Order: sequence, then C-alpha cells, then structure tokens
Amino acid sequence: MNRPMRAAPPGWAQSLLKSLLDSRDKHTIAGDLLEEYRERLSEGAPLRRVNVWYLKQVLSFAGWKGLRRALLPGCSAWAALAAVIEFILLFGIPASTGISAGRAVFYFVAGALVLSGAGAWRLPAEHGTMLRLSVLWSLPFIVTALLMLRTTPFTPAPGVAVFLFSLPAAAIHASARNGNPALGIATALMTSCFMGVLTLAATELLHHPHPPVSSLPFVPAVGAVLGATGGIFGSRFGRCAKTELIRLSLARTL
Amino acid sequence: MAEVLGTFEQAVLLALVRPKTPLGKEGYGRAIHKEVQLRLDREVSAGAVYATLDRLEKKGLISSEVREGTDQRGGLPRRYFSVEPAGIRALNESKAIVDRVWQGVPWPLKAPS
Repeated sequence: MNRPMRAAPPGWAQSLLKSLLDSRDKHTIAGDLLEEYRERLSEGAPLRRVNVWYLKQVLSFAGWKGLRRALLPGCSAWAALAAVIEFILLFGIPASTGISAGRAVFYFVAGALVLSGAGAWRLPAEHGTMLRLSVLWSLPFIVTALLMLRTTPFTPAPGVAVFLFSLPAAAIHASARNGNPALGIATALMTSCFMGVLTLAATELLHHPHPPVSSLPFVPAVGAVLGATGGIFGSRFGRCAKTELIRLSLARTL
Repeated sequence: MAEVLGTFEQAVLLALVRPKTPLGKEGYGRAIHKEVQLRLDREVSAGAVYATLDRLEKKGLISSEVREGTDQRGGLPRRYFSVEPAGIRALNESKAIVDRVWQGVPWPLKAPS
C-alpha cells in the first residue's frame, strides 16, 4: 500500500465533519471525501493544498442545520455539566462541609489530573520507569529531610523547597522520555506519595511535630498539579529534542 | 405539473441521467460531485452537492441505497443514487419552461448601444 492510500486528513477535521453530518450520511460522505483526498494526493498535489481543500469541503457542510447538529447536543451537555460542577464546587461543598470554595476547586482539579495520570498505568512497559524515577527524585528530599532532622531549631523550609523542585523535575524527566504528559503526572504522584509516607514515618519515629494526618491528601494533590505542569513541559521538550536530534542526524547523513 | 427545478438541481440530476465520465456513471456521491463540477465548469463545494441530493431525494425525484465501500476509502460505505421517473419528468418540464421563455428570442442577446 503506497503513501496516498494510507494518507488521511487531520483527525480534528474528520471529527468536525462527522459532527456536522447526521447519522445517515456520516460515513458515506466521510468516505467520499477521503477517497477524493487520497486521489488528489496520488495525483501529486501538495499535502498542504489537499488539506486546505478538505477543510473547505468540511466547512461547506456548516450550514445552520449542520452547526445546530454539531453544537447543540455536545456543547449544551458540556455547558450544563460544567455549570453543575461549578455550582457544587463554589456553593454546594462549602455550604455542606465548611471547606472553602478555593480548596474545593483545588481538590477537584487535582482529582481530574490524578484520573488523567492514571491513564499512564495502562502502559505496563512504563511501570518500571515510573518507579525508578520516583525513587531517584525522592533521594534529594530524603537527604534534605535527614539533614533537617539533625538541625536545631527545626525548620521545614528546605524540605518544602526540595519537594516543590523534585515533583516537576520528576514529571519532566518521565514525560520527556516518551512525550506523554500522563506519565509525568503519574510519576510526580508516585514521588509525592513516597515523600509523604517517608515524612510521616520519619517524624513519627523521631517524635518531631508534623501536620495532622488528615492533611495528607494535600500532598498527592500538589503532586498532581505540579506533575501536570512538568508533564506538559516535559512532553513538549522531549518532542522538540527528538525532532532536533532527527534533524541533526539527517543533516549529518546528507 | 411537475416540479420546477433550479439550475443547480438540473445540473445534479443531469449528472445522474447523462454522466460524461466513467466515474460519473458509477452514480455515488463523489462521482456526482465531480460530474457536476465538470458540467458547470467550476469548483463546487461538496456541501452544496450533497444538500441538493438530499433535497431531490426528499422531493422523490431520486432514490439512494448504501453499498459497501472499498479500501481506497477506508472501507467506508458508498451511497449510490438513481433517478426516479418523477425526476425525469421534472427535468423535461424545466427544459420546456426554459425553451418556452426563450422562444423567438435571438441568442446571444446584444446589449443596447
């Protein structure tokens, strides 16, 4: 099978087309346009020009009927869901539990990030990577914690600083390897859990003061947020670095 | 009296009745699209052609059936169109109307000097 036979228009354009068409014509029209798209490529038309042609055809279905079909069900459902979630976070939870609206929003965002990070667990090949990197990026925190415990008077500032540095670093390190931000979130989460458990165990054993155990969920929540930041950055950085390496190796070959 | 058709509707129906190319003879959406472009000698959007096909089918001038697709289109099905007797009557009527309107008028018209 040659290149034009496998070529496909941008996925977002195909999705837009399907959302503009009714269920009766969704597949037949998408097939007609795909067939024409491939034929134009096989005739030697430049990819960019063929993509522009495809997009123009897609937009030609965006009449009032098409827009109503595309926007009303999907957007209305999402807007209604967002409104319900906002109401619960800003009014429902603060009124019923006494938790501030800011904290409720923070935990909601962290929860959503934890769920997206959980996607990385579907990649068994990456479990070892996550574990190794979590241990690696926990080491600076362990060393700092040991030094802190020996110093008097006790101050948590260096530990907090290393904690805030290590989590995004772990996420960048993990996601730069395969360009997947979810892997960064999962690694930062694992690292933060290591650090939380170690801190709790050490302070308990050495009879040092520590925050109440009920505040423990705060640690992975921070881990998820910092992991997402690092994960997004790391995945972009990894892709750029890979592209640059390919470009350099090509330049050398040529 | 049969349905009075617009120019674009006539082009779409004629693409089905008298296709000029081997692809046009296949009578599915893409083939009709290309045939209409050839007949009108200009680029036509797919949306306009499919909307017209939809309208003509609702008027009962054409009918369609879905058949299996090929590898070239990722296995997606094709919708094949065919003209109904009412479609032929509508085309004849439209042509007759245009001929009646132009009867006795020398063509091409000259602009008044």
